Amino acid sequence: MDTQPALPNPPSALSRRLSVVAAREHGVGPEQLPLIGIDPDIFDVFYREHIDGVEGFVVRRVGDRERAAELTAEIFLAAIDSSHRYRPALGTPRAWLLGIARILVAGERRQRDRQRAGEERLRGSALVDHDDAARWDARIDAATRSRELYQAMDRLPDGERAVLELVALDELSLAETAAATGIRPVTARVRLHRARRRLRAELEAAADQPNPRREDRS
Amino acid sequence: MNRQQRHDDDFEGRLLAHLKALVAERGDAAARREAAETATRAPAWRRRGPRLALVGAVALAAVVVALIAGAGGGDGSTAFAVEPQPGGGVTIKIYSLEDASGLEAALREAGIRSQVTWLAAGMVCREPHYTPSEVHLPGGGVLGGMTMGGPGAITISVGSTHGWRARFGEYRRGEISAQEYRDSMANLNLDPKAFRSDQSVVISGAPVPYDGDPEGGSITKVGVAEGTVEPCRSVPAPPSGQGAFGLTPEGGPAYTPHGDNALAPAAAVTDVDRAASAAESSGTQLEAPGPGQFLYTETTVVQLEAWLPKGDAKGSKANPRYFVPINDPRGRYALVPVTKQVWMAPDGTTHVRETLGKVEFLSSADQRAWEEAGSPPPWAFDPAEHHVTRDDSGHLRKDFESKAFRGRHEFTYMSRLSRLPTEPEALRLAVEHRRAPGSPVDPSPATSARGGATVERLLEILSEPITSPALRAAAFGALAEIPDLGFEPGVADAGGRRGDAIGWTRERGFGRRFIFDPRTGEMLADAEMIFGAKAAGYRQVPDRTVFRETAYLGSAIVGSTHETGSEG
Repeated sequence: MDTQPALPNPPSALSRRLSVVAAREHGVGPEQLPLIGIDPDIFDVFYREHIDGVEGFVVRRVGDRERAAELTAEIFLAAIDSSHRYRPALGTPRAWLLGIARILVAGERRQRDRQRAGEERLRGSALVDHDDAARWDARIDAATRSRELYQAMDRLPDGERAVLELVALDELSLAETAAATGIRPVTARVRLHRARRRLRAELEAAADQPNPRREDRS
Repeated sequence: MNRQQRHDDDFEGRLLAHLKALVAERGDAAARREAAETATRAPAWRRRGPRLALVGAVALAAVVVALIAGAGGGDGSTAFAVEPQPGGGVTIKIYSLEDASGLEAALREAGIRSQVTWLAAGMVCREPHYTPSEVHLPGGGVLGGMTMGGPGAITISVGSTHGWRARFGEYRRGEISAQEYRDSMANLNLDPKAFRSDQSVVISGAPVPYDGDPEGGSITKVGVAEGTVEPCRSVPAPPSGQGAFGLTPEGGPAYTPHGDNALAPAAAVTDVDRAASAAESSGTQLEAPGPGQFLYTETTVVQLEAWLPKGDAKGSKANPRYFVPINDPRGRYALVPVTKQVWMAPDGTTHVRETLGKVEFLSSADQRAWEEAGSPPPWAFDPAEHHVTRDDSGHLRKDFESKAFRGRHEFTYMSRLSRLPTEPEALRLAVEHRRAPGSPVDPSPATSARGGATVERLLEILSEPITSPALRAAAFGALAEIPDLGFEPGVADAGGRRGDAIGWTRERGFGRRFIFDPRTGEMLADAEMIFGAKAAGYRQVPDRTVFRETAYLGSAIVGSTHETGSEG
């Protein structure tokens, strides 16, 4: 009797397919997220859902086209890498992804501060052509005000800055922000309040000397 | 929700192509690992030879000389192997803790003091037998202990935390491939420099059931002690629901059949048998569409979503009220039905039409609040965000072009499915991955991991639009043979149709229920439900709430995207 399975892997193929259906219908939810690292179809949905958000996140913080492209690539790469560790308790997929983005962009800041060259990064920038370059520049210009605000946040304590960034720049809810930064919602609320107060004082003080840090990013 | 597809030839398109290729490669590697595991599955974990392992993390350094350090198993395999790492340090690949003193010696040589205990199945060390402590890792982070479970070997590396973390950096910068990265990472790294002189590791393990094999897996607990460690005194594991090992008594994820306990099992079998003969005699079979034709399918998908009346979480400022997934604690729960009509061409391109049905809140107070707020539609049908029209009855509707999940391979896949054996036992053995059964293997009960998974797969096959009457009959026939099915007669689906259900509860209160019509052998719906709201973490929804249900309304081969097969 020939009972060779007609499918190489029927169970996972079927349940995988149901996951793709679910993802296409409702976006990549917590149940499907762990599959983005191994299923190109589910990753496709996830990417399309979040690419705008991630690019926006990056250009609001980074004024350099090449680095912005590289960081965008790195953020998705890191998401692919750590998708198997995702748990719903880590927040919605969006909050989780922006949590990753935040860590990588923060790493970028530290790296920039140490003046280190990033030679061996994944060359996301190699994928940018002329048309893209113009589009990126337009986007980067459009995000200038956000970036100025972001730079003004530089002197806030790390925890407070993270909360303010995600709420003010990325329009996350407090709950999502808390999940993305790994703190409790009530802590996020307190930090947001403090950060706003501090930033207001900071901006009022800086009003006399217009944008001293504005050019240091080119 | 999804952004419109941009031209492939821009940065986003190229990046997507690169990343998808990477994901596909990872997926293939994962499937190969799974296949290798299946092929080498031995009767018991502790007698098993070397193999790639594990949920989550992976073993085996790329190029190593394996020094065989222990000799535990009786049939030529070994208890563990010590492999030097290219950058210094060692990786210890542990197949079994049976040679406890040998493993302790190997760890001591690598710079880690330890107590290793191998226990009989169902036993644990009596706690407390040491003072728990934490190792602070250089560069931040704490190691306090962990529990690892599953089939296959576990690996512990002994080396610097820095080197361990640097591997990720190398991978991220593209210096090592994904495969090299995975292969070089052990389940756990112990950094001798991070241990204080009074600290040691305490490791205990026992065989556990896995996939129907009473000793098919293992569970290993690792803890950090400070000061003296008393010898482990073996006591029976507490009989908690999850067992002491985070696994069910049968091993694997729990399948608890969910049904009408008052019903005699024979009645359920009779009913499923009836569905089998009805399916066999139905005689209708959909073939894959030919050139110029479409496979038309119609389903209603009902999803439990949460509405945030304050609108402070989602969406544009102009239109700030939205529906979100149910994990938002402030959400007001509503069932959102969407009818999906899909026309799929042979090349996998599809035309999709989605029509929003009546949104029904679980509480009438929430329903009123939503209506008073102007009945803002869910995100996917928000006119401010999407191009939506209205159908003749005023329902919101979207039309768009898409692709089948497998693209042009969609129908190849379906036709492979239709080649599954059409004899019930052969079909069951095929979905269970059992090859050429010289002697028939009896079906595992639906309460076991294997039996439960088999039930799920058979029902999924029955839900495919292209399945021959013979295959449908075989699938029902195979279901009827499986002991302890959860069976519930007279259940309504999202479309209001009545049928009988096969259902089960999963771990943490979630469950699934397939509804079929025993008179015709047709599958009516596939519902995912909250069977235990408390266990699932939802205090505000009643038990048995459906959080996603797909009702299969019909399928046909049609000649254009304007036909639905019911025109006559």
